[in-house]
Amino acid sequence: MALTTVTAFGHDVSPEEQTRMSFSDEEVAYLRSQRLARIATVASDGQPDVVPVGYEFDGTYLYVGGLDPVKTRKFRNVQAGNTKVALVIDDLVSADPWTPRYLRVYGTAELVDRRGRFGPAPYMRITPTISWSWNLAGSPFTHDREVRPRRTVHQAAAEQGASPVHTTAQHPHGGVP
Amino acid sequence: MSVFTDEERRYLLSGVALGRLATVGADGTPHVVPTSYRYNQRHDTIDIGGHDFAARKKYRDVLRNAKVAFVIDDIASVNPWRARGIEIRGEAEVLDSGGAELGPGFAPQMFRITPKRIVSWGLEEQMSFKARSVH
Repeated sequence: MALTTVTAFGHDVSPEEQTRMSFSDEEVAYLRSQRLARIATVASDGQPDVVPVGYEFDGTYLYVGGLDPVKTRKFRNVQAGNTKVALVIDDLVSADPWTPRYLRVYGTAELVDRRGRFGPAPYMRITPTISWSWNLAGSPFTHDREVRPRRTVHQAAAEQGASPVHTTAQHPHGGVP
Repeated sequence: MSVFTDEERRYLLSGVALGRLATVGADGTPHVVPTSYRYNQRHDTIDIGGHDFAARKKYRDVLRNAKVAFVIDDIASVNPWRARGIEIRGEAEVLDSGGAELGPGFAPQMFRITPKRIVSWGLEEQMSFKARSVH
């Protein structure tokens, strides 16, 4: 596959096609190092919503909760049957030199009750289907350096209908405020 | 007359480097990317461009479905926890020129997002929250 020149965020530029079972060690470390994700959902009329959220990752699923999440647009969109969601976790390692990086996850969301920091609470449980990571090593961006997004088709997507690894979701600590 | 409050306009101009733009793909899957932006005070819009803009998935998405959402947020303080930000839902107009003015090396194409719903939090005081439809 031909290398492509990276642009400001390297989006959509001939990703390195890969099918792996799940996130790489580097991606898991990045997931666990970051505080916030931005999650996009879609209403039945095709209007997207995007908001910052705290999240947790238990090795299989991503969880998104909140203080009163059931009233939020994102929960209502999933409740209405629009279960496809997208999250991006990204940060600027440095503004000078410009050094962005990101992990984007497409997934399927379901609403579950789960024991969080403050007892049982409604959560959005997201099963990753496809993810892309870019420049998680945090190398400075230059126009003459070539970086390809790393694309992963996750097990749940590759084996549709497969039983989830964990059927009851419990986690020892709660979400980021 | 702006659809934004004074506090919101101040925040949009305060230099938060990145926002995140959500679009919708052909199969209904949302897509979300970090991107730079400019609050256009003359048009009261959010303008977004980029490198190779017309080759991007977000560009193809908007040609099919102009409805987008854009959020700018940051953490003003970790202790005490104080998050703040603004979400703008609306429609993106695709312009074939003007994008090159938004950043070095940017393509001529750009989005101009007109707000239809604005949600902001934490801009005035810790617990402030404003949500309303505009236009």
